[in-house]
Amino acid sequence: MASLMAVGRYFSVRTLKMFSTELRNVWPMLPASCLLVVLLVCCPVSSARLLGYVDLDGDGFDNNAPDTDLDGIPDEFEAHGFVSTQIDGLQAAPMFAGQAPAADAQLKAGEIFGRRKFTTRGIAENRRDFDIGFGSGLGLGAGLGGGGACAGGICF
Amino acid sequence: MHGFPHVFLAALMALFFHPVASRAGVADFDGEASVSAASTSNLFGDSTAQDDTYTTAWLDLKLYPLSFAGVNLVGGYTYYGDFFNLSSLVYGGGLTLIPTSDSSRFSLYVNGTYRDREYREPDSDSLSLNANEFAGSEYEATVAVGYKLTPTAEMRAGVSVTSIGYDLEGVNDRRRYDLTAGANVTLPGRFSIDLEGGYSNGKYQHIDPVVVVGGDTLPRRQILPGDQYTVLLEEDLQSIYISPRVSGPLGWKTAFSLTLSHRQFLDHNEADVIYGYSTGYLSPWLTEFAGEAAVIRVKTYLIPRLIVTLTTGYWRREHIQTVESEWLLDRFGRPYRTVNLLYAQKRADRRRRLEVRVQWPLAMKPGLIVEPSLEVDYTDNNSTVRVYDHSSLNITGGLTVRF
Repeated sequence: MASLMAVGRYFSVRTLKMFSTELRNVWPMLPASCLLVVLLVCCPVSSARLLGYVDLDGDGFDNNAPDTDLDGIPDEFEAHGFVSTQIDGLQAAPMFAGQAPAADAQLKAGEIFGRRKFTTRGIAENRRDFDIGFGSGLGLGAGLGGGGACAGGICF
Repeated sequence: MHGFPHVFLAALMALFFHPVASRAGVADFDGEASVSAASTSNLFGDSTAQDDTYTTAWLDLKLYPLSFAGVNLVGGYTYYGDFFNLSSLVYGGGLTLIPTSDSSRFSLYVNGTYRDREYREPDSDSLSLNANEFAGSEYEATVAVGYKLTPTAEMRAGVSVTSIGYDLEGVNDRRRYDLTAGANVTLPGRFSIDLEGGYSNGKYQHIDPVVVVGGDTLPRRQILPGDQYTVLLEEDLQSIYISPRVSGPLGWKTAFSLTLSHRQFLDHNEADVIYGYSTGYLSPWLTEFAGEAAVIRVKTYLIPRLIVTLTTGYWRREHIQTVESEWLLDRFGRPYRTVNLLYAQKRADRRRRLEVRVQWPLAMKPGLIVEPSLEVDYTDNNSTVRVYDHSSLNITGGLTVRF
């Protein structure tokens, strides 16, 4: 019993020390956490989808431009023979064209998730690693070095 | 490679999970597979200019068990032609949660990823490179929020924690916390301005600059074999960065962007020396630098069916001082590793880079895209440390299938 208590004390002290260390590391992020809570509680939710001309990925083109076949080339810039008749919900094309978007109930889980992910394009990445726009992601992408340009598994 | 069972297990789980969930009418999946072959004139990014070729196969499966959750499983292998000890297997997975509706002004993005990397076992030659010293795992967790002020303006903020752990006991593992915030607005004329800033806080372990001998404190000159990881002191490494970007149309079917970045350390002692590889490859510290960057990108759809992207950039990078071990022979002629602190030098680089990428996306049928691509990438690097003066030319051909 005594040894069990000793083990318990050891882990309690260890846990407290770890918690204290972690707290020191994350305190600068507290303002952002508070902002998150405030936004979650207070933010107004619009029933209309807000889609204007935006360039969130920094390629200079409108990220909301219709791309029916999802090949990465906006419809206005291609005269391809194939145009998908089945909108899979991953793009804003029907909304942009003034059509009513499909109701969530008619879509698969992946399609609803795709629509949600579409609205988070600007927030899911940052430019901390400075190698902006280089590399297509072919191969293994960023390595354990935490970013930078990579040749296969090797990062410079 | 004990990682293969993990990949096999993950693939089995994916195969099992999808039909079960599909029958329940709740799951969906897509993915991406790619293969690429590349040639580089300078594998290590230094003046030794070792050329090599490598091929990579990569698979990324995404499953959607719920409308607000996505699970992905990834796996890939890179094989090097000449330096085959560097061949590595990467596998892992991730979970993304987006609980907010796509019709909401407010977006919440939560993501967690795990990656494990294992290198090929070295040959019996004891002097050959043992990359498995850097085998390890990386975890990253991100929480980000966005808020649309108007259809053409939005704000964002995010926090993330990245943890890199190496399998070898004692090698300095890393954990870093990042806070980023930014705003994006499109002006009349379709020009977009994006401003981003961030703060990072992590730890680093540097070599204790002094040694106590017989009660006297002396400057440390050398580290004896086996002591590399026992003379390290841990310090905070904090940095801030700011990065404005402007982008917009540049004529018909063509657009550009200009991104500027500046990063600086806070309270960092420039005399600190980190033990580890410094010659560019495998270094966990090479991406930690202060300095500036300017990147211009031009993207065009002028050539029918092709996406052509030209990117050029300039960086000024002041690195943390690093020293690596070297092989010497003892009096019996046996090789041993040692670290001589006199070889630690302040490294500041000026780098120029030009990349041309051509993609040819082919929409085969709804939900299936096949994309051959070609990349040519030239880098010229001038450094205050001569060994890092180098240039390199990489040519990569790839085929990506999105389904």
